Amino acid sequence: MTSPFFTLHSEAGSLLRRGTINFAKREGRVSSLPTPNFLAHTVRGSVPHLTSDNLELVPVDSLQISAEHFYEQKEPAGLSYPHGLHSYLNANKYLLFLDTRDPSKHVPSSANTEKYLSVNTHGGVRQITPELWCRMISQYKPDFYAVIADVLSDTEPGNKRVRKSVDRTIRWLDECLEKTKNLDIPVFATLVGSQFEQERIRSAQEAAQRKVSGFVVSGLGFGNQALDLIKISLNELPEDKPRITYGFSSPESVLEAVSSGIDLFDSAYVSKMTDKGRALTFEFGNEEGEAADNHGSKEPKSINLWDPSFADDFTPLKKGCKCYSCITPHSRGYIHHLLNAHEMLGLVLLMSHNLYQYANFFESIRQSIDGKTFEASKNRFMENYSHEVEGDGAQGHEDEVDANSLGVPIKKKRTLLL
Amino acid sequence: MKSALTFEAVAKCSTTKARTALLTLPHGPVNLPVFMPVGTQGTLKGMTPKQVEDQNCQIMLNNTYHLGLKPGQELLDKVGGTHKFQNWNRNILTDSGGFQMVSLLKLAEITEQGVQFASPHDGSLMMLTPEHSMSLQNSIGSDIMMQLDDVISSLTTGPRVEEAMWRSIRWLDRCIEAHQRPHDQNLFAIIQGGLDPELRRKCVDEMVKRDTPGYAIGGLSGGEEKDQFWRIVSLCTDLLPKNKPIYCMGVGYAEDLVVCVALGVHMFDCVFPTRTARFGNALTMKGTLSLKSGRFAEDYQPIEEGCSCLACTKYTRSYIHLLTTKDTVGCHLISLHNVAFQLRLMGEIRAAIEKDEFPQWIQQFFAGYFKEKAKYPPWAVNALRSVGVDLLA
Ligand SMILES: [Zn+2]
Ligand SMILES: [Zn+2]
Repeated sequence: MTSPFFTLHSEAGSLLRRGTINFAKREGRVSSLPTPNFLAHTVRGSVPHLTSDNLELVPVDSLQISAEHFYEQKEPAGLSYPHGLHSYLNANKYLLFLDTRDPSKHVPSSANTEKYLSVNTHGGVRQITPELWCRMISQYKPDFYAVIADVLSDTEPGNKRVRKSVDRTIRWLDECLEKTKNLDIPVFATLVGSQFEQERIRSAQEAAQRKVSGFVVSGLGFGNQALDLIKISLNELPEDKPRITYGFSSPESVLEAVSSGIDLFDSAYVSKMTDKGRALTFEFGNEEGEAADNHGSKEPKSINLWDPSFADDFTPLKKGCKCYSCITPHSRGYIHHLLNAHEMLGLVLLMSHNLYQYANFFESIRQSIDGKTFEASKNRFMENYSHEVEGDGAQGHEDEVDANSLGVPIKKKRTLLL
Repeated sequence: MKSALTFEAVAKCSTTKARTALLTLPHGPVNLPVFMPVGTQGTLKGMTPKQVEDQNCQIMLNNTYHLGLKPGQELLDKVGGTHKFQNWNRNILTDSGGFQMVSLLKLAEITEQGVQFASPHDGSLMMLTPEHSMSLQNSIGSDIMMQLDDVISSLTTGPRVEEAMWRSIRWLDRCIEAHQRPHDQNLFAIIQGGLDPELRRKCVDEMVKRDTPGYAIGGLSGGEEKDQFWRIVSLCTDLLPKNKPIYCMGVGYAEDLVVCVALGVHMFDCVFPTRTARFGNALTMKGTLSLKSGRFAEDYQPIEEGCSCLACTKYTRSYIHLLTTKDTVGCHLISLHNVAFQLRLMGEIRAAIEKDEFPQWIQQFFAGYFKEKAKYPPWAVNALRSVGVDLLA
């Protein structure tokens, strides 16, 4: 007998969950995903800045693929490729989760209609119909996927529009379940309902009655209310199926959402920190690391490599980190130079370190749940670290140049007007 | 002067002037002829040093002007040179910095003292002297460093050409005098003399007397007629000693490499392969593919069949087309391929010379690259005819 798709290891009734998602065995691919875990954020199927050989150096098992990135031309890219998306992306090792939108950005899109979902792509606005979506699923063959859903991007949609979105989403779900039932690919239902409690409950209850393997519940666009709103949905779901959320990728919100019963996260936070020129340095559940600084001020979770004070710091990004950048070791000074010189390798090294650290973070979360120390570690984390917004390092940065080392000053001091 | 390299001849083509050799530098061996990719600011366009090493690249270039500006000489001294700074344990060649000053900075002007320029920081007048160029390159710690030369456009005519030639010789003497690390850094002289064979002859005479570890052919690739270019290159390789490496600066197009190897050159560098990758252009033995073009959207072949780089063994043209000019990964993949292409081209050339099949290899290369004889560049036909290979036969 094959193992069930999701095995829950924690006691029944506990909101805090440890589990394992089991996939069909495939040559060279991991077949189980321990949870809580994350789906590595990709753009057009690649983790930003990392070619596949560099990604291989990071302990990542699963990638989040956003279909909108592939739908720039009349036909989605690679749709006629006969060997599936894993091979097209050179991602045979990884479990691929396919959804429509990019969870790293919450941008208003053009209106959806009864017939299609609108996505904004590099090539303009495109429409995804249930037919097209099912065709993409059957050609791409992801390991698991979410059905298209009428997710609203307006902040305060009216009750009528939300009711329509719940109805439409369920109808698309039924249509896709019927069309893809022979594919044997686990299907996730996306829960909607915006800010209306009753609609959220209805959406979750309807979805829970369908033959789906898991659920996606997004917190994007709801600001401070996000956690409370997703809790309403989670409350209606069966315990034995995994839940994915979007918009909770910062360390603090991961910890909050893990406490609320979320199993899988997006990793938009990692891509954003990398783009800001920052390297993750925080620890979770490691007494030693956390004790490092505790005289009053809170420790930052990351360091800003644009900061000129790193120019002559020849230590690695984070002591003890085993990522490619830190074991080589590339120094903070070198990475600072690469940013200051606008060289792409800076972002390659930061991304490979940040993703590595993020994977460690989730590993530590799972260990602490197993060791029953999660709540204590979470409290310590909240206590020790600063929770202020981690700014964009490039902001206000002026390139540092050592013009004096280019030559010798000419004696007859004559300054030219330029 | 003192040398920190060994040069062992390996094979000689029995038809052309092509030669293979093993050059051993302070950071390991280099099989000649070689193409050196350009890592201007201490990094090769998005590639990790491991990726560059995995391609069996034995030497790359850094630019002295750029490293002087960022991270600066003080920092280079502190970290102990650019090998350590960028974690590259193989060889590095640096230029003198003079060429970039002349081309990038305002008010650059050459005087007997050196290259005068306005500081990019505050506009104050500064001077890159031969002594200062040596000092910068000593701080960088490159395995091969270039003398500061009097750079003039290859289109310059008249007495200025001769002046630049003699000044470059005087500056070479100042460089030799100022060089602090001849035991572990090799200083190369740069032959000047414009398009005038007599001046080139005199320059070679004088510079060979200085007995530097290697020689570069300078003052070319500046828009002169290709027929003039190859004649000067060929003259210089005839005149220069046979037991030292010869470097042709700024040459990197496939057909130029093939011709210059046949004329007896050993070393080349060019930013083109990595620069063009950013615009989505992939180099192949059958010419350049512009992967931005929509015609690759459903082309599921590798960039180049038989290439062993990551882009070709694991990805299709279609996928790289999707990424190109939008995501850095697309650029990295094409850069990886283009560097692999340049190194493979040189590897094939060396193998052909060693089997003494270089003339046949050249015929094959031109047929594949240009497809029809009518498209062969006439200058290349002339140059190769001068060394006994008739492409049109
Ligand atoms: Zn690291
Ligand atoms: Zn290739």
